[in-house]
This record gives sequence, structure tokens and C-alpha cells, in this order.
Amino acid sequence: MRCASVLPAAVIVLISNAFVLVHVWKNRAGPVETDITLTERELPRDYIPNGEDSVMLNLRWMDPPWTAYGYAYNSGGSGERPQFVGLWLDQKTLQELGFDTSIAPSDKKAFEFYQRQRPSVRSAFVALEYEGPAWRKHLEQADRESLEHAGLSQSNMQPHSDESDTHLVAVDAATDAERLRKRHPDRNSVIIVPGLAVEWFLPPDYRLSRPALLSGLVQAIPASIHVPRPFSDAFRRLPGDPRNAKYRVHLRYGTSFEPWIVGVEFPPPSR
Amino acid sequence: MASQSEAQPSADRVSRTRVLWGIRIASKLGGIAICAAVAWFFKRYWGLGVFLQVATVSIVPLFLLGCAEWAAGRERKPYSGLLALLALASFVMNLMVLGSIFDINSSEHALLAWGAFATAVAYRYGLRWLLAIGLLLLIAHGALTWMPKYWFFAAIGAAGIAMMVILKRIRGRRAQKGVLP
Repeated sequence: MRCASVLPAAVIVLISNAFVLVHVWKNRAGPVETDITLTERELPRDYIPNGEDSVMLNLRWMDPPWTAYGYAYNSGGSGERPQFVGLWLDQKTLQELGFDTSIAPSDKKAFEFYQRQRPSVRSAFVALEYEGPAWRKHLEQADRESLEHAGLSQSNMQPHSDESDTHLVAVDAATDAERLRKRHPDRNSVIIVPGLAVEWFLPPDYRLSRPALLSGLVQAIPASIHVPRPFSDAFRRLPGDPRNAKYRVHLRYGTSFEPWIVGVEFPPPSR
Repeated sequence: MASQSEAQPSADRVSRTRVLWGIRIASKLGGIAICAAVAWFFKRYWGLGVFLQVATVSIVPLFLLGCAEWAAGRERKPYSGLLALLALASFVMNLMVLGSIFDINSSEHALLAWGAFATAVAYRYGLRWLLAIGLLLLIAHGALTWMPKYWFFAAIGAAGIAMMVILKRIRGRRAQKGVLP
């Protein structure tokens, strides 16, 4: 079984490393896909286990609050059942992503049909909009909700927090990144990332008057972003609890939709 | 008396086989523990500069490969096997660390590189268990590339069972011929 040389194994290591480095160079040397500045709300620092030197930031986004995850929230405490649950992705987009939506949600067979559909998660390019119309709509909605709940002393609703909520909202998806970029041309406020979109069927319940087909983003790739030196040194030197730190991160995405950090700013300490 | 003396060598052989298997399992577990130590070493010293980090993670598998070659040249097969396993572990870490520091979207093609490396090293040093790992990685790559994702685990399971059956048959035939204890 022994062969003459160890050379093939060594060549595999060298070729693999060269391939990775060329890939990184191509991503960063080409035209910049997205150039954006985010804050600690969208890029909170990852939990660091004891003894590890790495500094990683997690990308945080939200699905539009008027869709899947927000539907119960939208129904509010007024006792009214919403007549319409908005779709983050319409039927045409879901079909483009490869989901079979041939049966209407109102059909009797819909529940079984959508339960059996595999896979329920599809790869797609997703547009994440920073402080755009979707975010403003979310703010208006949250303000309206808080007004509605102002009189309820035993409300379980969390107060809306502009300070801690991410301002990055998933607004669109497509299988083709170029087409998605044409629909959202602002490279300073909309990030196009590979991700995983999901659809599911929701039968009517006490909050929902009619069945609906919902969709959402379950994962943006990469989910966490490495902070290289010298920026990581500044994170390590931060006094106090690193989770409370305020910062702004200048981020770029290249032709392969892979990010890298080009700058980190920390506000001067307040006296 | 005659039957006792005939039975004696057979009992010795059984106990020797058990000891051999014990040593093999212990050495494999030791190898896995060292691999885990290598992985933690890379993770612990993550905070190096990018150039130094890339250079370190790229050189370590080559260095360990060189060590395996050196051990094999001195007819020390257990050491060369262990070093080959370490070289594979450090190559896995190599690509994982590069992927992490450059935020590269994960790709199934890494399995192809790891599988090809494991297979090449297995053939070089005559390590059947490393060949099995390499083939499994190559099958996993094929399954992820050519099959829908939800068939992946089924394919891996089937390949694993098939490989176990084949190895068992080979072992059975060799035992019949008296090649293996």
C-alpha cells in the first residue's frame, strides 16, 4: 500500500492554502460590493471563553416585524385579529427560491402539503437594509404598540429600545445577487449576503383569522465576523464589561459577498 | 494433558490479541487527544497578526508531515501513524482558521482537500484507518456536491456500514490464511 513519495500530500496542503489566499485576494481586490458603517447594535461582540484571544462580532438583523416573527406582536393587546399577515417574500419570490407554493394557504390540503415540503430551508441571497424605510416602519409600529399598551399595568410587552435593537432589517431575497442589487442599488445602506430563507404554513388561531404562508431569514452567512489586528487590540483594551462598549465598525463586502473590517471607531469616554 | 497443552497456545493468542487491540485503541485515543490539543493551540493563539497566523497554520501540517516522514524513515510506524494523524488534524485546522480569519463562506470543497490529503498520507504510510477517514471525507464531499443536502447523512451512514463490512471480510479472509492474529 505504500507509495514512493510524500510529495502529493505536501502539494495538496500548498495548493489548498494558495487557493484560499487567491480567493481572498479576488474578493478584496475586485469592486466593493457593499461599503457600510454599522454599530454595536448590529455587530455585538461575541462571547469570549476564557483564554481565547480572538475577537469576533456577530451580525444581528431582524425580519420585518409585520411578517412571520412579528405577527403575534402586531396583533397587540387590542383583541382584534389581524385580517392580513404581510409576506416578507411574496409568492413569486418564494417560487423563485425553489419553494412549491402551488397550493393556496386557504386550501384544505395546505397544512399537510406545506408540512411535507422538503427542504423547508433554501439558500438565497438576502438584502439587509440599514436604517431604511423598513426600520422606520418598525419604529412607527413599535411606538404605536407602546401607546396602546401604555394603560396596561400587567403588560408583558418589552418596551421598545432604540438603543439596543438592531437597525438592520431583512427586506428582500433572490437566487441571483445581481438582480437583488439592481432592486436595492444603495451600496452604503443595503448589504447583500448569502443566507438561508425559510417558509412555513401558519394555520388560523386566536390571533390569526385566516391561514397564511410565512417566510423569514434564518441565517446570514457568515454569521460572525473576525476582527483583525490592530482593531482587535482596541477591543481587548476596553475597560469594564465589553458587552456595554459603544463602537462603529466600517465594513466592506467584496465580490464573493465576504466581509472584512476596514476600521473601528470608539467614541471618546464621557466624563 | 495433550488437550490442555493444545489449548494453552490458543488462550495465549486470545489474550495477546486483546492486549494488541487495547494498545491500538489507547494509541488512537491518545492521537485524538493530541489532535484536540493542536486545535486548542490554534484557537488559543488566535490574536497573532494575520501574516503570522497564516504562516503558522500553513507551515504546521507540512512540518508534521516532515516529522512523519522522518519517523517512517527510522522504521517507527506507530510514531509515523500518530504524526500523520496530527498532520491531518492540523491541516483541518489550517483551512478552518483561514476561513475564520478571512470570513470565507464555508464550502464543501474543504472536504475534498482533507479527503485527498488523508488518502495520500494513508497510502504513503500504509495506514488503513486513515484511508477510511480519507474515503469518508471524499464520499461526504461527493454527497454534498452532487446530492440534495438531506440525503447527505443517509449516504454517509451507508458508506460507513459498507466500509465496515468490507474491512470485516478482509480481516476474516486474512485470519483464515493466518496473516492476522
